[in-house]
Amino acid sequence: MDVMHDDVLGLVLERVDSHVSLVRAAAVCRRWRRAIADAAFLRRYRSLNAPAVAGEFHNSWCLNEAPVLVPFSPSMLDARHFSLDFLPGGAASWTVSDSRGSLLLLHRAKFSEKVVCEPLTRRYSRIPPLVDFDGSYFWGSYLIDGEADEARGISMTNFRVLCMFDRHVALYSVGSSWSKKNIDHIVPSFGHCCLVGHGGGCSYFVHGRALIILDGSTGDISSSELPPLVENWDSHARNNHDFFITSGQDGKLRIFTVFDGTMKVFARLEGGEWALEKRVLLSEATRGLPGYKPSFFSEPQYVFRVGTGYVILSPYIAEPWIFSINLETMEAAPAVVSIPSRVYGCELPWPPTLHACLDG
Amino acid sequence: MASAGSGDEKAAAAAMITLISSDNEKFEVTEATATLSQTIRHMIEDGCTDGGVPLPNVTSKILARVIEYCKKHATAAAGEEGSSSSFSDAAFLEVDRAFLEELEEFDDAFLEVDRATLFDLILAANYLDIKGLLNLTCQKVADSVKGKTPEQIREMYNIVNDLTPEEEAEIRRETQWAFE
Repeated sequence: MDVMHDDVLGLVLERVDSHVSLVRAAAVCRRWRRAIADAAFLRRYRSLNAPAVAGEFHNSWCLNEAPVLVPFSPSMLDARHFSLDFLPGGAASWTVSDSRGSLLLLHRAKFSEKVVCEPLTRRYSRIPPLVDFDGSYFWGSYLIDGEADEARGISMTNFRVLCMFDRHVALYSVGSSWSKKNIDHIVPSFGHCCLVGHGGGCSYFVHGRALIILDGSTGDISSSELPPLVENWDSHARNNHDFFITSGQDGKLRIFTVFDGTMKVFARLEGGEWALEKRVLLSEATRGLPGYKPSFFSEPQYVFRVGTGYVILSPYIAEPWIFSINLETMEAAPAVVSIPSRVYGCELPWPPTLHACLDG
Repeated sequence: MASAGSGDEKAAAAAMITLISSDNEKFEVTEATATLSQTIRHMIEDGCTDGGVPLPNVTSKILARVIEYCKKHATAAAGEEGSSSSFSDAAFLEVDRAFLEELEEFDDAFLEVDRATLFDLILAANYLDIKGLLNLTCQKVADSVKGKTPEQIREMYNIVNDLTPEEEAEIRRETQWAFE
C-alpha cells in the first residue's frame, strides 16, 4: 500500500461509502489518519457521500420512559450507542423536541429546562433559561445550524436553538446568550400557525393561505403564498390538519392533502410554484388490502406519521385500519404504527472527531 | 460534406498509436483505444505521438492489462454512440442491455487480480488518466476496506502500524462508537 501516493490513497478512501468504516480506516496508521482528517478530503467526501442517517428517535407515549432510537440498519451501529442515559437525571425525564444532523434538542419540566446533546459521543450542553420574554406564549423550539462563513452544518461547538413565541423568536448560539428578533412583519402571530411538516432542512407552518418557512440552516423565517390545494379552500382554511409537507424520495419537497377520501400530492416546480403531481382515491388504492371496507372512506382520515416519501394513515374508526401510501407510486400497503407521529432523524457526527495523533 | 466527414472519422479511428512500456515493449493500439486515456489524448492533440508514446511509469505487464481494458471499453463507447443516435427501438435497447451486462462481467473478471497488480493498475490509471479504470480499481480497494477493523485492514495490505498502544487507545476513545 505504501506505493500509493497520497492522492491515490484519497481516491480510494473517498469511495469507502460507510462513515463507520471511514472512521475505522482513520485508525490504521498515521498516513491514513492524516489523509482522512484533512479538511479538503472531508469536504470532498461529504460532497460525494450523503449524510449517514443512523435511525429515528421517537418519544415514548408513556410518562417516564426514555426516548429511543429505531436504527435504519441494525448492522451499521448498535442502538445501544444511542442511549441517552448520560443526560442529567437520566434519560427518562427528557423529551425530544427537535433533531438536526447528529444532535438532539430535548426539554423537560414544561420546557423550562433544555439540553442539546450528541448521543453517539455522549456529550450534552445545557441551554440557559429564557428570561424577560414578557410572558408571551411559547410555540416550539428548533435546532439551527451554526453561524459560519461556509456551510459547515451543525455540531456541539456551533449549534443554535430557536424558540418561537407569538410575535418574536429568540435565538441562542452555543457559548453565547439569547437574542430576540421581531417577526410580526412576517407572521402576525405564531399562535395561529400550524406546523405542517419538515423537509429539506426546513420546518413549515401554515397561517391561513401563507406558508411560513423556518430555514434550519440560517434560522431565517419567510412567508410565501400557498396555491388553493383543495376546493373551497377558504372554508377549510381554519382546519390546517388536512395537509402536510415532507420530502420525497428524491429529496424534493412535497405537499400532500387528504380530503374527501382523495390524496393529492403537489411538487414544487423550479419557479417555486406548486403543481399537482399525483392524486389517488384512497378507497381505490387500498381496495386490495386485507380487511378493506368501502365504508372506511366515508370517514375522515387520520394521519399517523409522515416520513420521507411516505405517509401512514387510518380512517377515524374505533379499531384503526392502518395503511401507508408511497408518495411516489401512490400505492397502498398495510402498515403498523406503534409510535407517535413525529420522528426525529439522527445522523452520524460529521465531520467525525479526528484530533488525536495528527502531529508529526 | 457529410460523407467526407465520416470518412475522416473512419481514418481517425483506424489510426494506430504505439505505446512503449517502461521495459521498452511496444504496443500498437488504435487511437480510439488509446484516447480513453486523457493523458494520451492530450499528447495526440499536441501532435507529440510520432515515434511512439513512452510510458516510463508503466510496465509491459500492467500496460497489457490496461490496453485490454481500454479495447473493451472503447468498443462499448463506440457501440453506445451508434445505437443511441440511430436507433431507439426495443430490440436495440435489448442489445444495449446485453452489452452492458457483458461489460460488467468483463469488469468483474478484470478485477480478479492479486493486490500488487491491483495497486499497479490504480497507479497506471491515475497516471494515464483513465477515469473508468481508476474508478473501477479504487472502488475495489474501497469495498475491501468496508466493514473491516483497523487490524484487518493492516493485515490485508501489509501496512505497518506506526501508532503506539497509547495513541491507539486515545483514537478509540475519541470515536468509540465506531469500534464496538
